Amino acid sequence: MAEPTPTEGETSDFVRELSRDLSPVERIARLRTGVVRVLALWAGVSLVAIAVKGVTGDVSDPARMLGGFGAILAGLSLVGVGGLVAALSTSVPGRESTARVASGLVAFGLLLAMGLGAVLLRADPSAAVAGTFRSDMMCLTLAAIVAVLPSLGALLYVVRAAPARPVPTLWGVGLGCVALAAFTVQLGCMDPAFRHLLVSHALAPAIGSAVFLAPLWLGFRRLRQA
Amino acid sequence: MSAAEERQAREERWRTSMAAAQDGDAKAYESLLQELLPEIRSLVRRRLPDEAAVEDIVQNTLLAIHRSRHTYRSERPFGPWMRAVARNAFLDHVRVRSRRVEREVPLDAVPEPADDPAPMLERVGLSPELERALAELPAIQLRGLSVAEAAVKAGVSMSAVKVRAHRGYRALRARLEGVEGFRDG
Repeated sequence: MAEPTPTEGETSDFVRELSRDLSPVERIARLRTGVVRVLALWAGVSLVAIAVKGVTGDVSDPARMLGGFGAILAGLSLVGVGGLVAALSTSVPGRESTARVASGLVAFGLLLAMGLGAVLLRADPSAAVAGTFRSDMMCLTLAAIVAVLPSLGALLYVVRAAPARPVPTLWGVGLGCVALAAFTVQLGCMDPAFRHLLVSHALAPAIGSAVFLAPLWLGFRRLRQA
Repeated sequence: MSAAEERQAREERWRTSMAAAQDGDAKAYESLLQELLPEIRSLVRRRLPDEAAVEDIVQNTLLAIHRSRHTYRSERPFGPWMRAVARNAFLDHVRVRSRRVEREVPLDAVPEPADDPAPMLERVGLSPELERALAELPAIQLRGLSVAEAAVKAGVSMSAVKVRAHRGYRALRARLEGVEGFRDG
């Protein structure tokens, strides 16, 4: 049996029906504004975290900043901003080219943090110490805490927008926000161990985005229904 | 007027109409959607050789434009926004279709709903069972609406309304088959 297909005339009726009782809509904020709002949230939470935890001396050490430590920081910042921009732009129709550029930034950032970062840390004698599981968990937990508010901010934007594929978009939200949070955590992290920096900092966005996906998806569905 | 100038003028017209539609101007919205119809049809036809499915996707695209009209920013060109919405609606259609193609039994025609079915139901004495069965149905209720009205109300295309109505009739029939006094037809 053939599927019922509407005719062109029926489509015109459909258009009339769509236009009837049309109500005004509140336009979504500019993409740039959305990104800046989330970054502001991240900056606010980061200031509190840094005020509580302090800043590691590695930040003012040129040798560390030009080595694996710095490469991971640079990589995380690219993954953070790129992931966030990619996620928000995929939720706005017509911004696909922005999303593509931002995804390129994410790929480059991951390469920088996990590839170059690992190579440079291997050659860094100060990283040749045994890290502890406790400090791994501490940094990952703190990154998750710092990422919560920015993720919520980004989620609100995505819910208001029209993402074509919500799951990859929400995964991008988690990736970007956890990367930004891992950046903040690394500024205050006193553990210089190779394994710790790689697992709890460079890999934090990958781990965090997987953990954040389910709650973000649930939040998305709930807010969409509301 | 050159082709480029014509395109620019059309883009400007679309942009202005959409901005007006976002402020609630139904007339501008209707004329914009009517003007977009040939453009959307040609976009769909370029991607889909199945002529029978074209109008269905066109309606899904119109719905997608309607639902995401708040995401358009008038400082940006309208064409790329509309084409992105159309592309997403098309991909959605392909995904949904491939998922349901094996389990769907569609309906060729939906009968017009009865003006007021209540007296008839009382007459045949099935009211409580029928009401219970109807309450359990997930199908949308036409309730005297035209298919186009029901489609817009439910946020689906007209063929989706027909398919859902058919599913509803089938489910209703299945539920009532065990009820004493129910006569087929």
